[in-house]
Amino acid sequence: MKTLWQIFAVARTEFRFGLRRGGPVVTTLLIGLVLGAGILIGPLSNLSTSKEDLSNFLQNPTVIQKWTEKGYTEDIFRQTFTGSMAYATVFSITLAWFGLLFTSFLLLPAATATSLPTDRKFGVAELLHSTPMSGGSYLAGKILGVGVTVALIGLIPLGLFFVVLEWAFLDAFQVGIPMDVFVFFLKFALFDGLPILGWGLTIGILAGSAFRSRRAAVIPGLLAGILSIFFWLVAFGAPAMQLDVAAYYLLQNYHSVALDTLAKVTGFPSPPLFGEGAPVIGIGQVIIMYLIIAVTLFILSGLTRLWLKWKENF
Amino acid sequence: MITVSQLTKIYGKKVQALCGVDLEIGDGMFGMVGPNGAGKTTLMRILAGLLQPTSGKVSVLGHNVTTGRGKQAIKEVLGYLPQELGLYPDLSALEFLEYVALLKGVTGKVERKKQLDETLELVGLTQDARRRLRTYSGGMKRRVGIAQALLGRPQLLIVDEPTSGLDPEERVRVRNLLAEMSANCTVILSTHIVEDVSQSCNDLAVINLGQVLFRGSPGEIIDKARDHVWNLTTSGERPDAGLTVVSTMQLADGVQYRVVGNPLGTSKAVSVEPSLEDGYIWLMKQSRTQG
Repeated sequence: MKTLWQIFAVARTEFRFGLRRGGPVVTTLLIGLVLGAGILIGPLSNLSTSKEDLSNFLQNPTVIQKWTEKGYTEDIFRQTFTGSMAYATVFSITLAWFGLLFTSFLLLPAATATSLPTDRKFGVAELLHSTPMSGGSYLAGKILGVGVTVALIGLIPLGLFFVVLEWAFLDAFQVGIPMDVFVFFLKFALFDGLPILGWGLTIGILAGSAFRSRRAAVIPGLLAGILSIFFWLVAFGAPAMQLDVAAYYLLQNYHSVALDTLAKVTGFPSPPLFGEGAPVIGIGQVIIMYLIIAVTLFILSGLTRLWLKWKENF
Repeated sequence: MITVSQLTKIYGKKVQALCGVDLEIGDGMFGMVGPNGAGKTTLMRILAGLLQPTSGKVSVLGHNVTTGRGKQAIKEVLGYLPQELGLYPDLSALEFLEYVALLKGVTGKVERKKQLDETLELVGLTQDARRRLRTYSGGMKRRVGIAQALLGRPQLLIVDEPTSGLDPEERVRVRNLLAEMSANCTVILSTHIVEDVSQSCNDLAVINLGQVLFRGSPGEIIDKARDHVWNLTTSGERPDAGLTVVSTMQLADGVQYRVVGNPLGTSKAVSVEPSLEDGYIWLMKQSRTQG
C-alpha cells in the first residue's frame, strides 16, 4: 500500500511539472495536431466537391423519385452520402499513421528524457533517495505521471479533431459525424495512439535516466526515438499498408453503416477497405504486439532500475 | 546507537575520502566538525544509506547499512537534509512537503495534514506555505529543507550544513530547533561552522582528511587548547608565521591579534581562555604539524 502511495506521489508531482513546464504538453499537442491535420487534409479538401455533388443530386427530380420509390427519405439519402466522406476520413489513417509514428518517436522521447535529470538538476535526487521509496517505485511514478499528462493533453487535439470533423459533416451534409467514424477514431486513439505515445514517453524517460543534465539527456532520448521508429516498423508493421498491426486491424474491421445503406440502395456492395485479397490480421497478432510492447518496456525498465541501483545506490 | 568501525571510502581508484574511521554515536545531538573536503558529507551519506562504503562496518540503530535490507530499514526512520539541497521551483512549499511526506509513508490524510501543519509552524513558514518555491529566499529554502527532514517523525536526523547561507537569526532558530528535536531522536549535525556545534552539542567529533582527529565533548577540545591561545598586541606588524590568527582588532595604540600557537619570547602576549573555535583551530594546527 505504501508503495502505491509513493508511486502516486511521484506521478502527481511529475504531472504537476508536466503541466507547468510544458515539454510533454507542447509535444503531445504538436503530435495530435500533425496527426489530426494529416487525417483531415484529404477529406476537407474534397468537402466543397462533396457538398456540390449532394446539392446536385438533391435537385435532380429523377434521383428523388427513384429514392422515394424505394421507400427512402431525403434524410436517409443525405446520411448515405456521408458514407463516402466517412470512408475517406477513416482511410486517411493510412496516410497519416506514419506521421503519428514519426512525430511521436522523434519528439516525445526527447521531451521526456529530461524527467529524471530534472531531479538531479534541481538537487532533489539525493533527498528522494533518502526516503524509503525504491528505485522501481520512482521509475514507475515518473512513467505514470508523464503518461497521465500525455494522455490528458492528448484529449485536446482529439476533441479538436472531432469538432472540426463535426463541422465538416454538418456543413457538407447537414448531419453530424456518423457514429461508426466517431467510434473508429476513439478506438484508434485508445488502441494504437496510446500505445505509440506510451512507448515514446517511456523509452524517453528510460534513455534519459543515466544523465545528470537535461541538455545531455535530450540526445539519447532522440536516438532512442529514432531506433524506436525502426523497431516499431520491423516488429509491428502490417503486411500491406504503412500501418502497424493494431491500426490495420481496426481499419480492416471498420464498418460504415452509411455505406451499407448506400450499397442497399444502389445494389452494389461496398468494397473491402483494403481491396480484394488483402491480407487479414487477426486479434491474436494485435495481442502479441501489446505483449511485446509490455515485455520490452518491462525489461528496459528493469535494466534502468539496475542501473540506478548500481550507479546511484537507489 | 550508531557504530562505525574501520570505515573506508575510496572514490574511483585514487581519492580516499575516509580512512579507517572508528566512531560511536549515542542518543541526543552529535556534532561533526571539519573543514570542507574533510569527509563529513561522505560519512553522513554512508550513515544515511545513500553511499556504499569501500570497506568497514556501519551499524545504525541496529541495522547494517551496507546491506540492502539495512539501508531500507534506516530510510524508514531517517530524516535527512543534504548539503546541497535543491527544491522544485514550480511547486509550493506545501506541495513539496506533502510529496516528501507521502514518500516517507505518511499516507493517512489526517496525520499528514497534522505533520505538515506542525513542521511548517516549527520552521515559521505557515504564512508562505502556498507560495511557489522559486519566490523563496535562500534561508526560507533551507527551512523547507529542515521541515522535510522532520516529516515522518524520524528516529535519526542527519543534517549536513543546515545553517549555511542563513542569517544569524535564522541560524539560531535552526540550532534551537535541532536541539529540541534531539530530545526525541538522534541528531547528527555536520558543519564547518564551529559556533553551531558549540551552542548545541555536548558530544562531537572533529574530522579531517578522512580521519577522526578528536572525539569527545566541547569542553575537552577547549582544554586541549588551554595555554595555546593568546592576545597579542603589536604596533602593526603581523604575528609570526607559526601562529594562527583567529581575530584582529585595531586599537588606539596598535593592533590586537588573538592567536593560536606558542608565541615564545613575546612579552606582549597574554594567555586567554580558549573558545571551542580556538580548540578546533589548535587541533587542526596540531594535525598539520604531525603531518
